Amino acid sequence: MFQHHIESSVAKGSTCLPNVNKPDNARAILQRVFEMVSSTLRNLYSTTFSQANSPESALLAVGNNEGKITVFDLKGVNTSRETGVGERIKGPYQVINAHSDAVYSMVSTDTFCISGTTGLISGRRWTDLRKQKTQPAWTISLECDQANFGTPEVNGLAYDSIRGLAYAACGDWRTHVYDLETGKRSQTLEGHEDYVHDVVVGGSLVASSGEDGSVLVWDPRAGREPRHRIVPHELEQLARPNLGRFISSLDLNNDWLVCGGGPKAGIFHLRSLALTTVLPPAKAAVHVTKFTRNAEGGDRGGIVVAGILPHLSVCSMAGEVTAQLPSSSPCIYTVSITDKPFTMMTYGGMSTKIDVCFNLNYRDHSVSLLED
Amino acid sequence: MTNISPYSETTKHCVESAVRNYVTKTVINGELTEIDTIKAVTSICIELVRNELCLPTLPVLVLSDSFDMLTITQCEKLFTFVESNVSVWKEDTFFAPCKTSVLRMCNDLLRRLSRSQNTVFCGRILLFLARFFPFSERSGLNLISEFNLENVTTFTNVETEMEEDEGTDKGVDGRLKLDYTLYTKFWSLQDFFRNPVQCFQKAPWKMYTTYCGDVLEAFRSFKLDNVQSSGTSAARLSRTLSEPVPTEGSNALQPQVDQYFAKYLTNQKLLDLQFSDANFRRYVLLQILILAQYLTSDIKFKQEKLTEEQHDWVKKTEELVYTLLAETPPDGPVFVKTVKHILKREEMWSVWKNEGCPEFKKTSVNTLHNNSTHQSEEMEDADLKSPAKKRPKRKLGDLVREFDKKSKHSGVNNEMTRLWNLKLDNLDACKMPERDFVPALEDYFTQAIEQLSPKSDGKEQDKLVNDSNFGWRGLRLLACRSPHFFTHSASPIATLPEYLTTMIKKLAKELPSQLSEDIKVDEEDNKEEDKVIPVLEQNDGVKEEEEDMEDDTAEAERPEIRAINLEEQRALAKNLEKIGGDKWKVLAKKLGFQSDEIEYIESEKSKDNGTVADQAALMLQIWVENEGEEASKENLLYTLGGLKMTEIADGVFT
Repeated sequence: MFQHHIESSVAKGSTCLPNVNKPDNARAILQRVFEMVSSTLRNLYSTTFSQANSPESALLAVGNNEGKITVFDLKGVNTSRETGVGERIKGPYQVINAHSDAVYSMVSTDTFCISGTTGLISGRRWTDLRKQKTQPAWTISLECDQANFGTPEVNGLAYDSIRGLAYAACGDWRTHVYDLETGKRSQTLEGHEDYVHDVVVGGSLVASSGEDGSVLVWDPRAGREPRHRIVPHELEQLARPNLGRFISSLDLNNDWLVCGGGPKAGIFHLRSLALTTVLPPAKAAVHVTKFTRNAEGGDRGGIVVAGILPHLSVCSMAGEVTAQLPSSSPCIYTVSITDKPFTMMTYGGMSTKIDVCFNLNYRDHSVSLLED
Repeated sequence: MTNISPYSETTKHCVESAVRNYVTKTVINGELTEIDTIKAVTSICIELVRNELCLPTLPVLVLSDSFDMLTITQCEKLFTFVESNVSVWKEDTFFAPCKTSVLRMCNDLLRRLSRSQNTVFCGRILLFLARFFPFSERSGLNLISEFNLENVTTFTNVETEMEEDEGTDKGVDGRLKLDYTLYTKFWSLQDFFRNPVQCFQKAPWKMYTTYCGDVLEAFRSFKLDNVQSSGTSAARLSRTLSEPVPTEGSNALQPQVDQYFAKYLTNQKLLDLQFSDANFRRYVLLQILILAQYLTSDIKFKQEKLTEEQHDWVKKTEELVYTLLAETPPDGPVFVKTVKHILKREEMWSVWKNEGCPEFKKTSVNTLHNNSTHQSEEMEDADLKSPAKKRPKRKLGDLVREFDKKSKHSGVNNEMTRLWNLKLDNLDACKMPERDFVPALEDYFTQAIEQLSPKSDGKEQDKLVNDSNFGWRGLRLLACRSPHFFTHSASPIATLPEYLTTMIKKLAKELPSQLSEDIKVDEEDNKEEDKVIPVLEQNDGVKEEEEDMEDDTAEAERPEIRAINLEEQRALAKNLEKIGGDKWKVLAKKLGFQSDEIEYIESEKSKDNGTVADQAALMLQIWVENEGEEASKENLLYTLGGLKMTEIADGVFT
C-alpha cells in the first residue's frame, strides 16, 4: 500500500537507530534510551490497517503496520449487551507477532481469522486464538511474477462463504482466488492496470477496485472478463484530480455498490451503472466505504464513510449525514461492523487506539491496542 | 344582610359542625359523590362567613374534609374549585385564619399523590400554593440551598467496586479510572446533578468534566435533526421501514403527547433509544445548564468557588450545550430562548435569596429590577446623583390623576405631554387641517441627497434610502411632486433603495435651482400672504442662465445663513416683553406655531412663575430647534418686517 509509505518508512527508520555504533561505556545507557525512544515512536506511528471480527467466538483481531495482530475478547461486552450492564472492552487479550510486514488486510470466516501481508496469506483458527495459541493453521505464499513485481502485498481480502473461496486483492495488479479447502489457487481475476486496493464479495458478484481508478465487477462463474467497469474519476460529480484517481475501498449490497478514494465516495446502481448519490466528505480522501446491513433496533442503517479525517460519517442512502462519530485517530483505515447478535462497530487508524460503538450513532468508548 | 348583628361564638360553632356533618355524612358517598354539591356547599359557606354567620375557616374545613374522603380523581376535579377561588382565599377575611388550614389541606393531598404518576396534579397544587401565599412567602423556601441527596439514579455498573473505592478515598487517591463506557459515564453524571457540591473537589471535578465532555460529544455526533426534520424522501422512507421508535419523528403529523417521568430509566438497552429522543436529550442538557448555573453564580450558602480555569470550562460547556439545544428539533432555537429566560429568572430569585428574602412591595418593582442586574443598578445610582432626583419624584399615578382632572393626558416628558394634548382625541389630532400637507421634494430629500454625495462618510446601512419607512413616503411624494415618477422605463425596479437612489440622483441634478427659487417663494409668502406672487407663475419659464445666476447668489448667501444664537434669543425676548405682553404670540403665529403650542409654552413657563420674556425666549428656542438653519436672522427680520415690529431686532443683531 503505497499511500502509507511515509509512516512505515519513518517507523523503520526509528527501529534502525539502536544499531549505530557507540563507545562501549555509553552504549548501555544509549541502548536503553533508544529503546524508550523507539518504543514511543513506534507507538506514535502505530497504525491499524485491518480488522477481523468473529461474533461466534467473541473475538476481535486487529492488524497493524508492524505485523502484529492484537486480539480482543468480546465475551464481557457480549454478555453486557444482553444483561444491560455497561461494560467496555478490556485491554488486549493477546498480541501476536503474526507477520514480518504490515498486516494490510484481514477477513473473518467461521473458523479462521485470515490475514494478508507481503507475499503471504495466513489463517489462524479462532478457537486457537481463544486458547492463546499464536501459530497459523495454514499459510499460502503468493505464486507471483517475481520479475515484474517483486513480492506483491495483499491489500484486500474477501471471503465467499457459499463457495468457500478467499479473494486476495494483490499488488501484482491481480485478484487471486483461493479455495480454502485445498489451499490451491482456483482462479485469477485480471483487469486492473495498477495494484488492486480492495475486493468484496456480494452474492454471486465480486467487485475489486484499484489504484488505476477503476472498479471492476466480476461474475466469477461466467468467466475471466469483468462484467462491469465503473470509472469514478471520470465522473464530474466525483472527480477530485488533486487527490488522485485511486479507489481505495468499495462495498456491495444487492444492487448497490459504494466506492471511494481519491474521487468522492459515491453510490452506484449496479443494473444501470448509474451514479445515484454523492457522499461526504467533500475534501478529504476516503479510505473506507461500507454498507451497514440489517442493523437491529433503532439503527437506521446506511453507509459508513471514513478517511483522512478525525471522524467517521454515517450517511443515509440519500447522502445525508445521520451521525458523525469522533475518532481517536486523525485518519481512519479500517472499520469493522457486525450486526449479529448485536450491532458493533470498531474503527481504527493512525493511533494506538480503536474506537468502539454499539450502534452507528455515537462512540461508546476507546480501547488501547497496547499491552500494559 | 350585611348589617346583621354578630352572632355568638356558639352559634358559629353550631353552624360549622352542622355543615361539616352534612358534607361528610350525606354529600360524600364514595363513587356517587357529586362534586358540584360540595362546591355549592362551600360557596354557601363562603357567603356565611361574609355575613359573619360562622367562623372564617369553615369553607376550607369543608374542602379539606372532602379531600380526605374522596378518591384522587375526584380530588382532582374538586381542586379546580379551590384553584378558581384563589382570590377568595386571599381576601383579608379568609387569608389569616385559613392560611394554616389551606397549607395542611394541600400537604395532606400532596402526601397522598405519587410524584411520578400524578405529576400534573402535584404541580397544580404547588402552583396553587404559590398563588395563594404572598410572592415572598418564605415558608416553602429551601433557605440554605440544600440538595435533595436522596434522589439517587441507580444504574448497573460492573465497575461499582471501583467506584466505591474512589468514594472512600477520593482525596488521597487522585488516580481515576476514566475510561468507562459511555453508558457508565452518562449515568454517572446524574450523581453530580444530584449533589453539585462534589464538583468543588478535585477528583470528582475531573471526572465530571471528562464525562460531560464525552456525553456532549456523543450528542454532537449523533445528529437528531437529520432524522426528525422530515428532510428527504429517503430519510422518511428509512424511518418508516425501521422499527417504529415511539420517540422518533411524527411530530409534524400529530401533536406530540407530553410525556413525563419523574425518574430516568437506566437500562443499557434503552440508551440507544434515549439518545435518539429529543426530549430526553433536552432533559440532560438542561441538567448540565442548571449545574453550570449553580457552579458559576454567587450563592450565599455556597462556600467553595471555581478556579479561573474551571470557570472557563463551565462557560465553554454552557455555550456548547446551547448550540446542541438549538440543534435539537423541534423548535430548538425557541427552546433555547425559553431556557435562557427561565435561567435568568432563577438568577433573580437567587439574588433575592442572597439578600435575605426581602418582601416585595408593589412600588418596589424598580428596586427588584435593579437588584437583578448590576448594570441597571449602576444606572439607578447615576440617577440618584442627578439633580432630577433631588426633589422627590412624583408618582406616576398621581400625575395621571391630576391630568385626568384637567381632562388632559400626561406624557413621560414635556414634549410627549404636549403631543398628547394637541387634541383630546388622537384621531382628531390626526385630522387637524395643519397635518394635511405635502412636503416639498427638496425638504424631504435633502438629507438623502447629502448622504448620497461621495463626500458623506455615513455607513451604508444608516442611509435614509435603506429605511423602508422613508422609502414608502418618498415614493408617495414622488408620485405627487416629481415628473420622473411617471417616466416610462422598461427595466423593472430591482429594490426600493436602488430605485430611490437613482431618483434622488435625478432630483439632485435639478435641485439647486429649485431650492433657491423655493427659498424666494417662502420669503414672499412670509412678507405678503395675500398677494399673488408673480415669481410663482414664472417658475416654468425661467431660463437656464437666470437659474445659474441665482445659483451663484444662493451659494454666496449660504455661509451667512445660521440660526440665531442663545444670546440673540434672550435679547429678542426682552425686547418683546418691552413692547407688550402678548406681542410675542403674534410673532409666534407668524413663525408657524399653532395656537395650542403657544398655549403650551405659556402654561409651561407661567407654572414656574416665568416672565413674558421667559415665554418668548422659550418660543424662540423651540423655533430654532425646529427650524435649524432656517431660523436665521434674515428670516426673522423678514417676519418682523411683515409684522411691522422691526424695532424688536434693534440692537440685537450686530
